[in-house]
Amino acid sequence: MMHAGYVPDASGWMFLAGDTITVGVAVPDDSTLLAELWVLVSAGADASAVLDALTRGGISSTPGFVIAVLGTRGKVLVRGAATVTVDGSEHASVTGTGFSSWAELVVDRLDRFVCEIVASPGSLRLPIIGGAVRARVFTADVAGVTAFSGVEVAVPDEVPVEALGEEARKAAADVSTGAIANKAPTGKGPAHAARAPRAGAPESRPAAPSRPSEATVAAVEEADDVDGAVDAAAEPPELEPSVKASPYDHLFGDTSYRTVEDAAVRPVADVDGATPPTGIEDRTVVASDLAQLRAKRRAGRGRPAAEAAPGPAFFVELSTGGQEPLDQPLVIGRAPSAAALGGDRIPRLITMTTPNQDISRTHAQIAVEGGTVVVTDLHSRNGTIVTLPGRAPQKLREGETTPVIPGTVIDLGDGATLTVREG
Amino acid sequence: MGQALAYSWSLPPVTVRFRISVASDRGLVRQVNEDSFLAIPPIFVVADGMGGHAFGDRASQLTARVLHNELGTELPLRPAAVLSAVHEANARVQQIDENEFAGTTLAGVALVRDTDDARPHWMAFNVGDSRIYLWNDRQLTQLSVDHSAVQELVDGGVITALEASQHPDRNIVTRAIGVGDDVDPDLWFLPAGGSQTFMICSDGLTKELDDEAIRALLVVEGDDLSPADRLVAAALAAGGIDNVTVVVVESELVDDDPAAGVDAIPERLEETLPRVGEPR
Repeated sequence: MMHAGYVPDASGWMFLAGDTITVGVAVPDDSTLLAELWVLVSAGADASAVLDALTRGGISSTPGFVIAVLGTRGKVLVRGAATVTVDGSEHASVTGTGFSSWAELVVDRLDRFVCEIVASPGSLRLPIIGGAVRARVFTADVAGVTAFSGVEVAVPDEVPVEALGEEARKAAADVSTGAIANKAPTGKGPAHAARAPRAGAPESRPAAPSRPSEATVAAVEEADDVDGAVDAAAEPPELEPSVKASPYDHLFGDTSYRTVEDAAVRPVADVDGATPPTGIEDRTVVASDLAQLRAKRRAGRGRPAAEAAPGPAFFVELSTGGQEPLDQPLVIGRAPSAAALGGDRIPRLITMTTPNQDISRTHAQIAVEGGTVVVTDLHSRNGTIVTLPGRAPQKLREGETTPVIPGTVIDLGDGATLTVREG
Repeated sequence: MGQALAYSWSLPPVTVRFRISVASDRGLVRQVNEDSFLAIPPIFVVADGMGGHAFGDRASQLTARVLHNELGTELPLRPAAVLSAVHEANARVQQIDENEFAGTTLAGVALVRDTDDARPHWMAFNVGDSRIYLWNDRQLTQLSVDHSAVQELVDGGVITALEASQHPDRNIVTRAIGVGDDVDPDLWFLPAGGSQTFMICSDGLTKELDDEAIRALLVVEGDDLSPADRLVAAALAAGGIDNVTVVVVESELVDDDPAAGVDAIPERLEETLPRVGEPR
C-alpha cells in the first residue's frame, strides 16, 4: 500500500494511481489509451506491460509518460517534460526532457518519488488512494516512510534542455551530474544509470569507450572509492590485455543494442568528478525493446488466418495457363516485385507475359485473409477489373482492395486474367 | 585486400553469371572486426556483431555460418528456406551465452525461385542497420530500411535523414539477430533480369560515405581494385571509424537458348577463397 498525493491541475497530465504502479501520461484525452492503461494499473501490471501499451505506435508517436514502481528494485521511466525525484537507496532525479526515447532509473529500493510536470512548491496537495487524476505534481510513498503531510518537494536544480544538440546534451549531462552530486554529498550513492543512457555526455566526454574494455574497467577502478559503483561495470575484460580503447571511440560508438533492463542497471560512478565509466552512450535507454514488444503482440494476435486454420483451399487459374495455389499471397505482374515488412507472409511472385507487355510490372495481389480471398490493385497503371459471378465488372482504383468469391475473374488488361477457384 | 570471384550458374530457363567481390576491414579505430560475411552463390550476406567481450564477433560469425550450413548445398533456394535459416541463426545466436548479450545485424540477398521451373528472383532480407543497395547501371537505390532508433525518428518526421547521420543515437538498432525468441526480418522480392548489382555493407561504410560517393565508386573503371576493395578503401580514407564490410554482387541474367545444353551444378570459373567471413 502506498501513500500518494497530487497537486490538481485541470490542464496537467493524467495520473493513474494503482496499488503497486503509478502511470502518468501527457495525453489526458485519449480515452482508449487511458482505459487500457487503467486496466493494467489496476491489475498491478509490471512496468514493461505499461510500456508496451504506451509505445504501441512506435517511438515517435509515443506520448510523454511517467511509469513509477515503488519498493524493492523500484523503477522510474520518464519520457517528455516531467521530472521525477526519487528517494530510497539513492536520492536522484531524472527527467525525460532531451531523450528521444525515454529515461529510466532503477534503484535497489525506491521509497518515495515526486513527479513534477510543473514545479509547484507549497501548492495544495490532495491525497489519493487510487484512481485517475489530472495533476501537475504527483507524489507517492511506501507507507510509513514519510507521512503524507510531510511530503516536501525537492525541486531539482536542473534546467530542462530542449534540444538534442551536442551542446545542449553536454549541458544537460553536466547539470544533472551536479544535481546528483549535490544530493548525495557523502558520495555514497553512485549516481545510478538513470540518465547515463543518453543524457550522459557521450559527445562531450573523453575516455568513454563504447563497450567494456580495459580502459573502461580501469576508469571504474579509479572511481572505486565510490561505494558500489563498480559491480555491474567491472566485469573482467576478455579482450586482449593490450587492447586500449581509443580516446575517440566515444565519438563513434559501435553498433549497439540495449534492452531496457540492460540499459537501466548499469551504475555510473560519476561522482566527485571521477572519470565516467563504461561507454556511457551505449547505456542508452533504447527503443530496442520495442521490436520484442511488437513481436509479442503479434504472437498474441496469432498468425494470419490462412496459416492458422485450414480453411477452404483456394487457387487461381491463369489465362496464360496453369494454376497457382493461394497458400501464399500472390503478387502478379509483368516483372513483379514485393516487400514483406515485419513478419508478413512470404509473397509468391507470378510473372504473366502478355502480347503487348501492357500490364504493370507489379500489378495486383491476391491473398487469403481471414478465410476470404482479397484482391488488391498494386497501383497499376491501367487498373484491375474484378468481376464477381453474376455481377457487373468493378474497377479497382489504384491501391484499392476488395474481397472476392470463387468464380471471380480478375482482369489485369492485355488479355491477362485470373479466375479464383476453390477446392 | 579483399577477394573476387566469378561464377556462371545455369538455372533453366536462364543462366546467371555472378561477379562477386568482398572486402572487410577492422577500420582505423576499432581493435576487433566484429563484421562477418558470406558470399557464396546463391546467398550473400553481411552481419555486424554487437555485444561486449567477444560476443559480437561470435554472433556475426555464427550467423554467417548457420546460413551457409543451412542453405549452402540446397540449390536453388526457396524463399521459405532462407527465412527458416534466418530463424535458425537467431536461435543459435541466442544460445551463445545465456548471461551475456550477443547479437548481430543481418543484411543479404539470395537468388531464389518458388518452383523448379519458375524464373528466379532476388530475395533481400534485413534485420538491423546493415544495408542493401541496388545499382542498375543508372541509379543507386537503398533497398533495405534500417531498423534503427534514428530511422524511426526519420519515419516519424522528427528528424531529417541528414540529421539522422549525425544523431547521437545513430548506432542504436531496434532489431537484431539473437535478441528475441522471434526475429522479424524485412523481406523484399524483386525480379532477376539483365544486369543487376547488389551492394551489401555494414554501417562502417555508410557512416563514412554518402550515397553519391558510393555510386561514384561503383562505376569507376580502369583501376585494379574490385568494387568492394574500392569502397572499403574509401571508407578507411574517410576515417574508418568502424569495422567496414562490403559485398558486391554483380549479376547478369540471360535467357538460355532453348537448344543449348545446361548444367544444373554451378560452374566454378574462378575462385579465391569464398569463405564465411572471419574477422581478422
